[in-house]
Amino acid sequence: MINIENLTKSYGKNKGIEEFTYNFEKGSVYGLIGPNGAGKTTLLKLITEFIFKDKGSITRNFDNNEQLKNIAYMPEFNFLIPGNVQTNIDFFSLTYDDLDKEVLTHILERFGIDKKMNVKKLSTGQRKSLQFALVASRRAAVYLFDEPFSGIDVITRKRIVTEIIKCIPLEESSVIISSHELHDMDQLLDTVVVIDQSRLIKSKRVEDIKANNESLYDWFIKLLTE
Amino acid sequence: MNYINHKPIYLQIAYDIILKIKSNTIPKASLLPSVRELSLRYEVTPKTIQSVTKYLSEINVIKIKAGVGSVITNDDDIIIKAHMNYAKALTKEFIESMHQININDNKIQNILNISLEEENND
Repeated sequence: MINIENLTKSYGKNKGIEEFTYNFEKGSVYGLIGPNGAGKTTLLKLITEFIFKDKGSITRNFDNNEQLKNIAYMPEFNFLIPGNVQTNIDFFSLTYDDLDKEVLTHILERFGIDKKMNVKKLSTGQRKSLQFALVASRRAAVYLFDEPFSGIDVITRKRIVTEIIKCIPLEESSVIISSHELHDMDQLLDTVVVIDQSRLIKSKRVEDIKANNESLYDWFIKLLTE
Repeated sequence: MNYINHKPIYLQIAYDIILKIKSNTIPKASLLPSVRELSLRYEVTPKTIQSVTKYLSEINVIKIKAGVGSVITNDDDIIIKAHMNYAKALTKEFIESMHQININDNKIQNILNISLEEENND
């Protein structure tokens, strides 16, 4: 779905991502895992063309692939606008014509978010849930979630995992979720892609990791401390 | 379903399905629910469900028929064998963990007998 070759981007002297080569396939859910500052956000921003590469190539193997068309992207920063939930839905659907409002309504119901609520009154978890719901309700080829689980409670985290499985057409798309940890993600990830210090360290199918009687978490810690 | 973290999820689901077939919760000779349905029911990705059906088809519990779906076997022997293999796998793990704490085979049998007796007296 997205084929990346020798992708390199640096910010002055600081490295963002270096010589990154990977092929993200259709029908798989990827966990882009690495410590803070490893280069995860840089990679997602390069895929969405929020920033531009120094070297290498990103090939998008789907139609209509200009910037965020067909790429549903949940950035790490808050993208909600002042007003109530409905205002945000209206604004979001003006920006993206592939928003499935029916799916969105169902997700918001399950999260217990009322469309009349002012976004200022939402808790941190609800704010993140709303942003997640907006992005997950788009009908796109690729879904990118940048740290969707950071700073939220366990219940919300589990709900988001369930919603990804329930609401995103996973067989038809490619999903990349960045995270600095692997808690509660066992059921969600097909493959983990570990990056550290701007480089791809390792990629492995989750079921192959577990075939060796190892949990995702133990495998990850061992890999980073080796 | 609660999954064990250090074992492949697709195997845990496959064993669950085998148990359900054995207890007739899922009828023999019927169609296994679709990938999408199973993905929702077990709260895992479609890729994981594909591994489940691949495994079940390798051990002949299902036959994947193009355009039809996955047909569950009508053969009791296949289900009994799959169920026994599951039991053997769990027993193997038990034996390995006993060996790890230096319990030899004789002692394992003693412990088993004593534990079974205690269990049955409860």
